[in-house]
Amino acid sequence: MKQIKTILICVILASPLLQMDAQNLSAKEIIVKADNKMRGTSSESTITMKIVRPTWERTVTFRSWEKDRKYSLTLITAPAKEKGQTFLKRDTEMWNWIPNISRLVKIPPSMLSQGWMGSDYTNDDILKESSIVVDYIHTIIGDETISGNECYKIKLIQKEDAAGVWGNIITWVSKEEFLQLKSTYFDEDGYLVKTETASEIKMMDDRKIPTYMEIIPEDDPGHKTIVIINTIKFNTNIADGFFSQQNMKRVR
Amino acid sequence: MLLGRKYCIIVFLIMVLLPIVTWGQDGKKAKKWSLDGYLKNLQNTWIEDFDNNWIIWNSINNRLDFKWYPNNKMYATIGIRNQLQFGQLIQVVPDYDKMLDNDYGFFDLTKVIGNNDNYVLFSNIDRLYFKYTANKIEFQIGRQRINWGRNLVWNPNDIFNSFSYFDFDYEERPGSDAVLLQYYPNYTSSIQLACKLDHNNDVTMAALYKFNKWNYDMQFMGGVMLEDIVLGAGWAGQIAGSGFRGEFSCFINTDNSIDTTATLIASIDWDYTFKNSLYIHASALYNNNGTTGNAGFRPIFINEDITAKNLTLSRASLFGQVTYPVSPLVTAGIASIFNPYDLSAFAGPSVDISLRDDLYLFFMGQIFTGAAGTEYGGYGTLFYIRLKWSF
Repeated sequence: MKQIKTILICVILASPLLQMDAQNLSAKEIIVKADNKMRGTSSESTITMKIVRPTWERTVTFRSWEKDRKYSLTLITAPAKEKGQTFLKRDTEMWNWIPNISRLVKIPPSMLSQGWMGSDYTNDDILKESSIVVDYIHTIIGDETISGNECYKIKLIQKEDAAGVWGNIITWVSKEEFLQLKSTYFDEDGYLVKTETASEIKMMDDRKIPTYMEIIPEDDPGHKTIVIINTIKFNTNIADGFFSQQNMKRVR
Repeated sequence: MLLGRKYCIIVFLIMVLLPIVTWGQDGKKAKKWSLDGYLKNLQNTWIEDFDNNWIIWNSINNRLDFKWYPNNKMYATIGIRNQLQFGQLIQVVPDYDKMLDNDYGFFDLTKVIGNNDNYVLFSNIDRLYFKYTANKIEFQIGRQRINWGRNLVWNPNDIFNSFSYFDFDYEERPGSDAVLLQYYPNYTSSIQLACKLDHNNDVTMAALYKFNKWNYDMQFMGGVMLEDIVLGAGWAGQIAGSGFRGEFSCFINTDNSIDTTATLIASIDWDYTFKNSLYIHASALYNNNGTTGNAGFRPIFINEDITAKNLTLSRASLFGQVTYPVSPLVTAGIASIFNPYDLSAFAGPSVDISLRDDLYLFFMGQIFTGAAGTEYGGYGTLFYIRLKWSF
């Protein structure tokens, strides 16, 4: 159960996992467009996440509501053991509602450092996601084609005073739709740690976005984490009051 | 099932009246009902004395939670446990079936369906309530769990549904027959009024105000629990990333002929998760009227004898726990309770293995040590193997 908790915390803290911002004006414009594509001011989605290992596979599915990057509410819909649990985030605070014992738990920050079934998303990653704007210097380093889409290739180099885990990141953003189709993450010694790819571009609500993401760690053959966006609606005008302890017990 | 007249009345209310009330208030696409539950087999081995009696028995436990959402404002649920126990324990414990047949709620929703010297089959409804929501107000009536506890082990504020820590296989915990009125002034605060009737027609009634301030959840409560006036407070927050919670309740007996001193039950709770997922958890419990001598033997496995006032008979109890995921699918841990006065102790090692998304294999031990007459002495050692399939 703890592991499920962690993955949800991760997701809540950084729902769209594949965005970054840029500082260089043109690079920044590209990234901002990509960012706006994947996330409106609010969103409502159903997500499936799969952890794939050479000998086993585990799946969790959930519904998620998000607003202004400040508020989120997540409901687990599978597996059966955790079904019905909800997670509320308001600014920096988080709670977990466990319906079968009617317990509301306030989640302490250290619980964020737990791993979920060895998921290839590191928590540090996700927690740092929002600061990638200020922590990196961004430059366009070329043009490349990713699965038939012409892309800008953009390099993000971590600033000296930044505390992120990635030394640099290279990301490919499609020229036509501004979709982040691939990202590679390097540690501070310049070694490739993991690759994220995004595919199955579909019309979701009012826009075209990738709906299938794969995260492949470099050093573990046969390991990957898959994120599938089953449904998503953007800018749904959810009221602030939706993100409440009362609603944690009601959403479904 | 013939679970008595009171049961029939409740079922009638839920099953018959509700559809009439909600007739024509058709919602949109969301499914209006759900059925969840699990099937598990727990194999128990009780070794009271290593060289003599090993008592082995099984419990096959099926849980069904039926939930109904007729519309946005209404919700009804029924949770049923069906349990088949068989093996040596039934032969050894006199009137074991009668013990299982006890329902401590106002309504008798527990029924032994069949038994002989070798087995007991019983059914128990531990959730059966109706909830009505009108904006920020919620009204809930029926058998429900009212959980005011904030700690993870001992809950002095949980005056409605105290439970035995050692009854680990009953995860949902018993419900109580009660009325609960809740009002939510804002997103993270609530005011709750609750009233419970038990099998002796005794009343527990209290109010709680819960709010969020300085990144802490805080709560104050007051009311009556059986013959005591209760005043309590609790919190949940964090210190340097670790979880920090606490609860205390003061019980003032109103029957002066018996007892004039107040009982203070206090517990603090702290946990921390390291980056490698190692989890450590510590808790302490204080009872100002508890004994500093031998805290005595009592049926600690039975929820019904435990109230928020007697979580321990000792002056103090200490709890410690460590868990670690040795692999992504296997979590190992050990929990321990120590009575520092009579030097008795409990240790509970466990290993939980995920076989599939919906299938878990769990191994656990409950090892009690202590001299005769101490809090944890005299129980011997228990081992459990559980296979649980959730649906």
